[in-house]
Order: sequence, then C-alpha cells, then structure tokens
Amino acid sequence: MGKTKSIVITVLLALIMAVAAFFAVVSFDVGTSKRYNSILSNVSLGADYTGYAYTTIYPEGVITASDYNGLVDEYTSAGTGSGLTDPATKYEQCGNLYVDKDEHSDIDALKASVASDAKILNARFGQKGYSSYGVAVEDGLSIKISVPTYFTSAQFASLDEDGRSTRLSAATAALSTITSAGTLTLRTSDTSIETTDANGNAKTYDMVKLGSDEWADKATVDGSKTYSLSKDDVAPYFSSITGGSIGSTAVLTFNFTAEGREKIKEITTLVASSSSQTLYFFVGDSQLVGYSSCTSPIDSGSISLQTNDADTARNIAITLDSVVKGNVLSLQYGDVSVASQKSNGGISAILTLVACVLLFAGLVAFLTVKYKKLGAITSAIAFLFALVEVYALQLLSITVTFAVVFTCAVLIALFAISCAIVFAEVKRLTLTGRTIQASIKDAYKNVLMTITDLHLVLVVVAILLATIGVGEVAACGLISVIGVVASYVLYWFTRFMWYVTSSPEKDKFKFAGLKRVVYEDD
Amino acid sequence: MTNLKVCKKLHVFIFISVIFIAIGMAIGTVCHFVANGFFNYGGEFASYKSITVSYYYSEHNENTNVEEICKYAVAGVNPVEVSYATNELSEEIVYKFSATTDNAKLQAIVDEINSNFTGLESGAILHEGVVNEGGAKNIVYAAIALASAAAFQFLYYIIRYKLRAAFSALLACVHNLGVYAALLAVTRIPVGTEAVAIGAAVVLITMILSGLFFDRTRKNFKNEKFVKTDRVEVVETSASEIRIITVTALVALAIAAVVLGAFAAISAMYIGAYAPAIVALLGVIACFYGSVFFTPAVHSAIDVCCEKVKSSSKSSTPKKQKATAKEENEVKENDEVKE
Repeated sequence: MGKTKSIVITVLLALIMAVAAFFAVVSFDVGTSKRYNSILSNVSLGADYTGYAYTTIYPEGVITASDYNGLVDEYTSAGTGSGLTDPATKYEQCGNLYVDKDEHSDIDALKASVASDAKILNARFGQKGYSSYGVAVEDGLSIKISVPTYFTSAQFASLDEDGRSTRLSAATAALSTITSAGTLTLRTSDTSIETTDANGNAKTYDMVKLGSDEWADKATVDGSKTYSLSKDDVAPYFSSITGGSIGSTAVLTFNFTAEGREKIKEITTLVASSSSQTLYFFVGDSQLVGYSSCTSPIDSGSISLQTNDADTARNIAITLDSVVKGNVLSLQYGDVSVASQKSNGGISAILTLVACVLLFAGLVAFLTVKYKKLGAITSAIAFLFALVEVYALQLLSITVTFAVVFTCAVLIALFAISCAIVFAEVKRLTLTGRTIQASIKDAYKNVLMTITDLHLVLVVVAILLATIGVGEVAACGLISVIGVVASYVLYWFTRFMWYVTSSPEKDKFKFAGLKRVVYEDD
Repeated sequence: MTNLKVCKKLHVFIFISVIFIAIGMAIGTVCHFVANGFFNYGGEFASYKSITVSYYYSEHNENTNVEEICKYAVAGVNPVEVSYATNELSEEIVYKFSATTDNAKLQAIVDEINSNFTGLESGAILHEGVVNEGGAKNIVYAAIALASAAAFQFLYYIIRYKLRAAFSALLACVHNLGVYAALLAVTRIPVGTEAVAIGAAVVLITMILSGLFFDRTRKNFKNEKFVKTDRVEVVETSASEIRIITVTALVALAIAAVVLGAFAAISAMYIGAYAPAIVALLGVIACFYGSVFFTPAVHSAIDVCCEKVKSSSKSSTPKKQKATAKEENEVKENDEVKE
C-alpha cells in the first residue's frame, strides 16, 4: 500500500469517527423550535442517576396525618351539632397514620394483610425487569412503590419535555395498573342481552341480576355501569396471561384451561349478542382491557388482543396473570396518586461522563507512551469501540447504571488485552529478525485461536446473562454481547490499521517502537 | 513481577482463600442473626428508617432554605441516601437511615426540622420501620444465568482444552465469586442490585483472565522448549508470562472503579452514592487475588494430580503396561540405532 492510499484511508476513517463522535456527543438547536439531542443525551439512565417515580398507597380506612388534621379542622369549624363524627373517636393513631376503627378493628391483622399484599406487589413489579425498584411497607400500614423513571439526561435536564412526560406516564401507568386490587371479573356495559338458545328460542338476560355485582356502581366504563358476566370466580378459566410484542404489534394473550375454554365460549356467545359486543376485563374496579370486537363466540385455547404498546400489554399481563394465579391483594387501596418524579441526590450522570473521559484519556496516554504511533492508532480504535458502545446503549435502549458503566470498562479492557496479546507476539517475532509486516502476519496467525476462544466463550456467556438475567444483569449481558462482538471485529480492524500505517514505512524492520534485533551474524 | 513463584505456594493460597471465605461466611452468618442480614443490604433490599420532609414554597416562606435547615438538623447522623422529590403540589426531601439508627436521635431531628418550619406549611415525618421487600427475583435469575455461564465455559474448556483446565476454570469462577461475596460480607458495604450485576462482571473478568492463562499453558505444554520441563514449572512460566497483562488490566479496572467512585462521591457525599464503586473495587480485588495467585497454583496441583492418576492408571493396566514397555524398547532401539 502506497503512502497516499494510506493517508487517504486514515483521513477517511478519522472523518467517519469525527462525524460519529459529533452526533454522539453534541446537542444543538435546529432552527428556532426544534433541538437535536445527542446520542449520549438520549441514553436511558437508571435510578442511580435519575431517580424513581413513586407512589404510596394506603388501605381504605387508613388516612395520613394531614388528611386527619383536615378532618379535625372540618369537625371543629362545623361544630358538635353538625352531625359529623369526631375524628378522635373514629380514628386510632398508628405511627404517622390514622386507622378507621369501624373498618379495621384489628390493627395487627391489617398490618399482616398489608405485608402480604406488599409481597404480592413485589412479585408483580419483579416481573417488569426494572434495573431496580422498591416495594416498601412504611410503618406497617402503607406501601411505597418506587420504579425507575429511566429519564435520558436530556429529559432529566428538561431539554426534552415530551420525552420526559412520556417516561413519567409510562411509570405512572405501571404503578396504577400493577397495583390493581381485587379479583378478576369479565364484564359488559349492557344492562340486558337478547340472545337465542340452542333451540332457537329468544331469551333475554338481565345482566343486573345475572352476575355477582357488588362493584356495579364502581366498575364503570366511561361513566357507564358494568355488570359481571359470571357468578363464578373466573380466575380458574385462565391458565396464564402473557403480554409483549410480536414484531411491532403489542399483544396480550389469554390462555384458557379446558374448563375455561367452555366457559369463555358461553360468555363470549352472550357478549357477541350484546349491543356493545365488548368484553371488559376488570380487576377489582379497574378496567384493565376491553375486547371491543367480540362479534362471535370464542372457541379456542387462547385469544390474543392488541394493545397500544408493549409496555401496556406487559403491565396488564403481569397483573392479570398474578390475579388468576391466586395472588389477589387482600385489601382495597385508595386511588394511586400521580406518581411524583423524584430527582436523585445520587450520582451525577455528567460527573460519571467526566470520569469516563478522564479514564479514557489515561488509557490513550498509556497506549501512546507504550506503543508510540501504534498506541495512538489503537487509541483511535478504542475510541471507535467506545462510540459503538454509546450507539448500542441508545439504539438497544439499554439502561445505563453504575454496573453497566463498569461492564463497559471491562469490555474496553477485553479489547485492550486482545491488542496487548497480539502486540506482544509481534514484538516477540520482530525480535527474531523478521520484517514488521511478516511479524504482524504471523502474530495474528499465532494468536488467532487464543483471541477467538476468548471471545467465543464471552459472547455465549454474555448472551446467557442477557437472556436469563433480569434488570441490571440483563442490561450488563446485552452491552457485553455488543462489546464482545465489537472487540473481536475491532481487533481485526487493528490488523488492517497495522497494514495501512506500516506499509508506507521505508524501514521494514522498524515501526511503532519495535525494531529488529541486529545479530552479529547479520 | 514475572519472577514471582506462585505454584509452589499452593497451600498458602488455599489456606488464605479458605480462611478468608470462612471469615466472610462467619461474619455474614452472625450479622444475619444480630444485624441487618448476611450482607449489609442496601438499595432495594434494605429495610430502613426514613425522615420525609414535605414542604411547598409560598409567599410566606420563599426565602426559607429548607434544604439548609434539614442539612443542619441531620448533621451528626449519617443518612445512607438523600433524595429530592417534586410533585404537583409540594416538594419532598427523603433522608434514609440504616434500620439500626436510634429512633430517639431521628425523632430529635424531626422535632428540630418541624420547629424551624412552624407556620411554613411544611413538616417532617419519621418512618420508624420501612420494610423493603426487595428484588429477590433478580438475584435468582442472576444466579441461574451465572451458573449456566460457568457450565458453558466448563463444557467449552473440556472440548478445547482438557478436563483439568475446565475444572480449574470452574474453580476459578467459584473461588473469585466466593472471595467477592466474602469481601462484601466482611466490609459491610451496602449491597444493592448493582452488586449482583458486578458479580456478573467478576465472572466475565475471571473468564477473560483464566482464558488467557489456560491458552498460554496449553501452548507452552506443546512447545518443544518445555518438553523436558517439570509440569509445575510450565504452569508457573505460563502464569508469569501473562502476569503483566493480567495485573495491568486489573489495575486499570481498579483505577476505573476508584475514579468513578470519587466522582460519585463528589456529586453526593452519601455512602449510597459511592457504594457501587467500592463494590466494583472489591470485585476487582477478588479477581486480582484469584487470577494472579490462586488459579495458577491450584491448576498446577490439579494438573499434577491428573498426571499422577493418568500414569498410575497406565501402569495398573496390563495391556497398557505391555504397550508402554514396548514403546520403551522401541525408544531404546532407536537410540541405539542413532548411536
């Protein structure tokens, strides 16, 4: 390869890297109303960087001190003859909370129920695959649930308000759906349904009387009452309920038991004859999903319903699956208040980035001092490796936590070790008197299996971590898969760069701090 | 560094490892019964006490620096984490304390904050017992993933190297994870889900370094230069040949953990913020000890044992004995011909 060609290739690569780095790091305004947020500022950050969205739920009949004080003020200002009950006689103080004695005569039993519900909620939120989350029982009577907001740094800094509200809505939706209390009921909004029986005789069902309808007033859809389609507990009709996405479609799948298949056929026959032709799935008084086009009876082992997005499908599936498996919250809880965004007093993402830049500068300095020109080239390739990691974090929506940052450091170490092995081999061969080009060729050949074995084992291990692990472990596994593949590809790229940079050298026995040992025999 | 002889100090390293892991287990077990658990659970695993300060600014208190008042009141009782929250109506500061913090001290803080906030529509509340359910499910899946990874590495090494190398590699993973867990138990660093993920990173580092070591060992065993060299010496040489790379990589990772931890501490001077960096550093220390000292020493012993078993099984099999005798005769004849 000639000097010109070598320079052209080097400059071209440098340009590509510069452009990739520019879009990865620099954010800028586009026109007056739009803004381009860099790849780095669009990477999702874990709870240790941007905090949690959280809510505290209280069992019905349990109120906070501020609510209690409000009742006291109301009672005091209304006077004793107002007919209001004195809060002091109605409520019993329990830590920072007040318990309605009529609703909960046994506070220890109430505490036991709250603890049991917290365990169920913990299991439900555990299935969300959050990098971290918290389900904590406060003072025995309330449950505080925290889920990560996964803000990007742009959203965290309020430079992307739309994205920020989308993330908060997602967290709020998860908190309100997964905390649904009560049993599963299948419902309709029709008060009566006219249908024909097997003999073709017209029959009218009064839905108000048909089902067990203690929630008829509460379980509403757009303000209309709904009615249960079955007097029995419908949970045994379902073997499992799963949610996720198939391609770009979010799908919720209900799998029926043998008994359930028959019952669902009966229920959907009724729904198909109704005017709304909609089957609602309620947990307690919360409508989780509606099957709005039930035009014919369902006679199959499962049905799949399309939902707005995969996250919604997963939230609903987790809740319904938990309920059909008997994990029903034993208490009714008050409405989930709008989840508060919690900015974190923890690690600053910007400072972590500064730390990473400093560490990378240290690596560059080390490589350049040790391997001179070759070290500088390897540093450039290591920079390319870092860019690959940054782009992968954003494109694969990997949440960055401290553990992920550390795993990225381990992966850069893997790349550096691979390079160090081959450099040592080149050095060894150069000392035997070969030309640099011959040494490079033989060195890469000699260490081929070493490097391949190393990367092969690691890529399979990373895939196992990504697929079996959940939360942070899965995130570390996923970035490791990308990192190990990138390390292997870029390792071979160093071979190419050896060729590009060493070809124009006039002295074939001297390059990048390496030189042939001239023996006396020579 | 390359002259360091580790294989002959096998007993020392086994002793150190066993003792250290045993100490870790003992401390963990004692703490499980008398303190807050086998590890010092932090993050989403920890039960804790908290003080929640709720407030909102109005025209009456816009000049009040709530954070300063709280900081002043909390000084002297180290919180493990501080977080700031905003919602539609008010703002919150939540101070988390370890579950063993004295209630009287915390109540004094609450009283002090409340006395400063009189008439400012603000208030502090002490939650004496917050029982965190934690994400135990994450640990179970991580354990399954790591076990599968180690099993895969074992099988791969059986095919690519030998059973003895596969066994040593498996032992290296188990040992390094054991030392890592013992370090966490002994140092009582708050352990959250990041500790599980860093445990996975420990396994990755161990696999990278043991992969290098076993590859070099295999190459050296095949190298004519070492045909007549004692097997232990070959393993020793292999370990010393890759020691510079191993130590450099681990020192670099340790520096990375320290720098990340230092910057985390700059951003928030609470243990909850920089504990993950310390956990990472402990992981690197476990890998350093395991990869530099323990694995080569143990592998040399396993290799010698396997060779002994192999030679004794050869000598105990009559057919093999005959074959060996025949081979020896052939070698003698060849030597005579050469002479």
